Amino acid sequence: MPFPVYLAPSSLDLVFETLLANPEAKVLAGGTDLLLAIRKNKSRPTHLIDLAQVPGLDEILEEGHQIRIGSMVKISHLANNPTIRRNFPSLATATKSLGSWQIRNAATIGGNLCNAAPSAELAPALLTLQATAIITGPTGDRELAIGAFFKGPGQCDLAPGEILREILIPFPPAGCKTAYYKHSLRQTMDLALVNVAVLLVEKDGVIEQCRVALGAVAPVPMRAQKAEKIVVGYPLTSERIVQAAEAAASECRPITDIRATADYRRHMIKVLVNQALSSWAKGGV
Amino acid sequence: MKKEPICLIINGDSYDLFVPTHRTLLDVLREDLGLMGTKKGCGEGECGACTVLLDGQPVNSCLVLAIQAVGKKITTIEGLASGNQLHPLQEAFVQHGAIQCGFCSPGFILTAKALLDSNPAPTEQEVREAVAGNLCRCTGYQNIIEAILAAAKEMGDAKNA
Amino acid sequence: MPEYKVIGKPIIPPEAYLKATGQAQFTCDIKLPGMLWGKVLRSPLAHAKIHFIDTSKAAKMPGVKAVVTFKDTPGLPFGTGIIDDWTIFARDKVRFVGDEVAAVAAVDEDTATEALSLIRVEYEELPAVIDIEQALRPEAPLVHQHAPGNLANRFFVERGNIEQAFTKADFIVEDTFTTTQVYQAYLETMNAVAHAQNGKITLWASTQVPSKLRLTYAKALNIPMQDIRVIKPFVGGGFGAKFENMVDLAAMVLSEKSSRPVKIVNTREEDFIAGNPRVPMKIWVKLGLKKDGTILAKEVRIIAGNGARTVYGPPIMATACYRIDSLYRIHNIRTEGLLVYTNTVPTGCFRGFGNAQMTFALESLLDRAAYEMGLDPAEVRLINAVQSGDVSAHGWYISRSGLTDCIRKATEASDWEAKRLSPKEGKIKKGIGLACCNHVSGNRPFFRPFDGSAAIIRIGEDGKAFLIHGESDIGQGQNTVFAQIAAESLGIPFQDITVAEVDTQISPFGLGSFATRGTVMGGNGIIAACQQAKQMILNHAAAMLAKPADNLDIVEGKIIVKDTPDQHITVAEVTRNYMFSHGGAPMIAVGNYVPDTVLPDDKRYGNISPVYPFGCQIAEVEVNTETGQVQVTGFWAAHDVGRVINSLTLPGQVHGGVATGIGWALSENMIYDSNGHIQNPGFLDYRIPGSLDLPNQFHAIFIESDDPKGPFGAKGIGEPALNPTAAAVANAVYNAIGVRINQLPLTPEKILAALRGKND
Repeated sequence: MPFPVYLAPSSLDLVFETLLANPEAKVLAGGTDLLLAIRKNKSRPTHLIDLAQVPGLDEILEEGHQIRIGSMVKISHLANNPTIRRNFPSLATATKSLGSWQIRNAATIGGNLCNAAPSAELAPALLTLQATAIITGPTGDRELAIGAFFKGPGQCDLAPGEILREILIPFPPAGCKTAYYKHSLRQTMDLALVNVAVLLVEKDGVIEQCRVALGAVAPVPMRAQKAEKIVVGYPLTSERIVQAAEAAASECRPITDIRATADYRRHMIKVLVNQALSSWAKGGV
Repeated sequence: MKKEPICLIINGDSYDLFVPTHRTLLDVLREDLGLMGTKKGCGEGECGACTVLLDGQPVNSCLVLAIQAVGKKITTIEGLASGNQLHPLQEAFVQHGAIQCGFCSPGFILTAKALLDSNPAPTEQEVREAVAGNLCRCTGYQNIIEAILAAAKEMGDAKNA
Repeated sequence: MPEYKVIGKPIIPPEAYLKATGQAQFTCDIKLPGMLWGKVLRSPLAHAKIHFIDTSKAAKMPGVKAVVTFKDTPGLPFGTGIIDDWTIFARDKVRFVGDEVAAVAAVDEDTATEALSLIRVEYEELPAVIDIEQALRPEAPLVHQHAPGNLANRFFVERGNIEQAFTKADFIVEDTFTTTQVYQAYLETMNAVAHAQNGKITLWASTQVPSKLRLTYAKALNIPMQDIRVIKPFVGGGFGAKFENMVDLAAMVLSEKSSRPVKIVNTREEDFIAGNPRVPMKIWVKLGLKKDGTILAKEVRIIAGNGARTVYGPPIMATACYRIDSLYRIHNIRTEGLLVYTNTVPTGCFRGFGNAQMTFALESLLDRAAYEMGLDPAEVRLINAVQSGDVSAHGWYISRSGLTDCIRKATEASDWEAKRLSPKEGKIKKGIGLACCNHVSGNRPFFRPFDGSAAIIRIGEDGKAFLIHGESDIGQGQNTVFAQIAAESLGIPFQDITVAEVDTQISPFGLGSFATRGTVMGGNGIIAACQQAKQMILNHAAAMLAKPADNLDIVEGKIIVKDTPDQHITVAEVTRNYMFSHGGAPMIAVGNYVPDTVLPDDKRYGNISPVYPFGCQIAEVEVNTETGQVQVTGFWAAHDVGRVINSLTLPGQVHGGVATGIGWALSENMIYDSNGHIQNPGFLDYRIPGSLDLPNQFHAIFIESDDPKGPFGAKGIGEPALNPTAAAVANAVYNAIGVRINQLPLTPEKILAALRGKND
């Protein structure tokens, strides 16, 4: 049970170099999942590359039409950021539902996304907000829609030497409303059995944009496009809400595990999508 | 096993250590420094018994490598009282029957301290949310919540006096 | 009621200061010079033959000081005094995932862990039996050769004539209930420090039963009891789990082999897979009632899971079978219980000891009967409630029953009637449910040689008392209650009492913390010792003052002359004078209490406890009919505690018991796969309630029935606090949504399925 060698490079170039030199190395962000996986022998990296000493990765910057979130920004930092709370309420709600205060003080947005759990708290909100992942590596930067970043449970689109550097989120248009709902058995300190984020833009009594994202019901967080199509272009009536919720339930692909059955997850998708859209219809969201 | 020389600042004292890089802060506190007030309840970040404050913020010390805590101000339960003068939270836990077996108490008290430092007059709901990462099997939490609210009041009164 | 100076007061446990500052030393905090870390190699298979174990590589690893297997032990089968189906480490077979195969002691934890991976074990996997009902089938694999049919134990009791009684019944109801294997979830995992020196072993143990450990381990190690010294530091919770266990024994064997102190601390996962969780049960109950709700007959069949070896399964099953028959006036009874071996973790005690399981079944079914007969469930309980002076069907003498008062006070405080009958509308439905319980304070057949307790009081030249007992404070505040009882009995201030931690070299043989016995047994033993000590003080004072001893009394640390109130000397003056006139001997009194209980005969007739506590709990819930989630929003727990000894710590006992009961009712369950692996061996997926999952207020209500056999009238509270909780919650769910779920836990999925079933 050899424990990995810990390294904390002080620049991105050194990070790339170390990663390339050690193909079995893993990047250490908050460590709340990775350290545990190593201790339980579920992950056996040769090296741990801590990003904590790389400058600039833990900043939240507003720039014109978008916000830039460094991958090492802690969840608690995100949860308390006034810009996030004001402009991205679904993301703020999602951050607050993650783990405990202790976990949020250690865990990072980059870790939550790169861990690529199907139930990742932040993913559905970021999907509906059309966030972009900025990936950086030895050959330069590339941008990827967040939806394309997830490849499967525990797998994301990172080539050897690459890391997730930042998340970009465009400020939503005026009149846009977002919401995040998580269902778990305990009120806190629990994984999502399912989670749902929605984003809606209404113009002249008609839904102009609708994005619905679902977590923990497929190998990767997914958009519920059938549900979205039912809503876009029409006034949001209770009939449409019911239809959209049913569509979302039918298009998700949940599994049964010890936490819940596939049927229950599907049912809860219907309930949560319905709740999210209904609260909007009532002016809540 | 790779070892590194590190310096940790714990409760205002600095400690020079030579530790394996994979050693957790919890293990360094308990096994290397004998600061046994920090408890290991699960080693998986799920129970909060090993809570310490890093720069004033509660973390599970079982999920932090000692080397990651370099340069940060670490507060453990041993650093809370000043001499024989207990911190108002410690006193409140004692007075309100918030301590039974006592194994979870250090973690609760430190989480509560971080809460009151940033939010001196929390509501009951805010207290319950703040300590949701600390498990207790003896008390059903009620006396713990009451103790934290009482300490908040006590500290507020002392400030205003 | 007499006015007491210390009894009934909100006295702070002095050790709370140590616990609040991190200074309290638990077993896992002990560090001895030269101490090694021990680790246990556990079976990855539920059932397998061991062909060979090769420890040579591990033994050669630098830093490893001892590697032990069955061959390093005396090899004698032993047990907790019931069935000798234990060995220290597996002999030729492993019988559950987590079974102890070998252990290593090394200079540090990392080295010990690495050494474990170097031990090679060749297993031949055997078919395993996981489910308790399947274990009884003829084709089921045998867990132990000595137990054909996997039957570990059978219990049978019959009273009256149930056939006749059922024919007289106006209403008959029957159903089957499943209670789960749940984990005690104390925050300090099982751990031990052992130090073998000069042929003797000192064991620092996180335990509820220090003296019992010494007895069992002496047999297991084949050494005289005298050669084992058990010391109990602070214990981070037990709730029934911390009896004899293999962690202690592995540490002792490793220390013997390495001649160094050895510490073993279970990881949380090890504690889940190889601790001793609650005995799971399948319970069929049939009740016959009269129109007014009077219970005429009760028939019960139980299948209980013992796991792969016997911890305390037989008495736990026995308790499930017959203890509840002293809750109500039932006289026609037939109960059969079968305890079965399976290839799963051995099960043991958990707050409630079998009575909690049966309480869930009976109180759920009685509730159903009440509703189906159109009666108020509270009224049905009141009609049947045992009363002071009753002798139950099994011969138990109920000197005081506060059950009726418990039901009355709980229903009043919770606004029972109005809430129960309120219309259930909307998506989130509110409901209220009630359940009662009885229990014991001591269990005469548990340890056949005796029940009772003893205490030693040592008063030195300063007039302060050192109280030595052999029971076991595991965090419930027992030592504080004992010190209060001693202070009140001696007439000296609470602060003048110091309670010694249990050390079997000095302490009396104490049975320990189980069966809700501490306050009553320990307390009565302390009163006996104090009475003697007091008499010694008064006799010596009488000589000093030249007054007759019966004209003297002790009040607040002073000896007063009853007819000359202004004349007094202090206790310290008397005990100092005594010491200096007795060659330096402190005043020592040894007192003991032997309860007037009756060991049950071969027909199970007896009287197992001196006093019997009772309780009634009411839960208020909200059931979300869309998600199936249940939230307990209000809780009223009325308990007949005889007398409140400590008004600060007593409510906390109730809060904690109820919280654990709510976890059992709603979320907790150890889930196995078909190969016998527990799927949720951690706090993430084994969900104990957190601070947001419980009602904001528990209302603890205490009925003081002043039992003449209890110390200052007191009865115990530990287990009753949990016994009725799950049934109260389930009954509240029924009241809210009109469906009953008989299988714990009441998960959202089961609630939704039941609702669908109802609407179909």
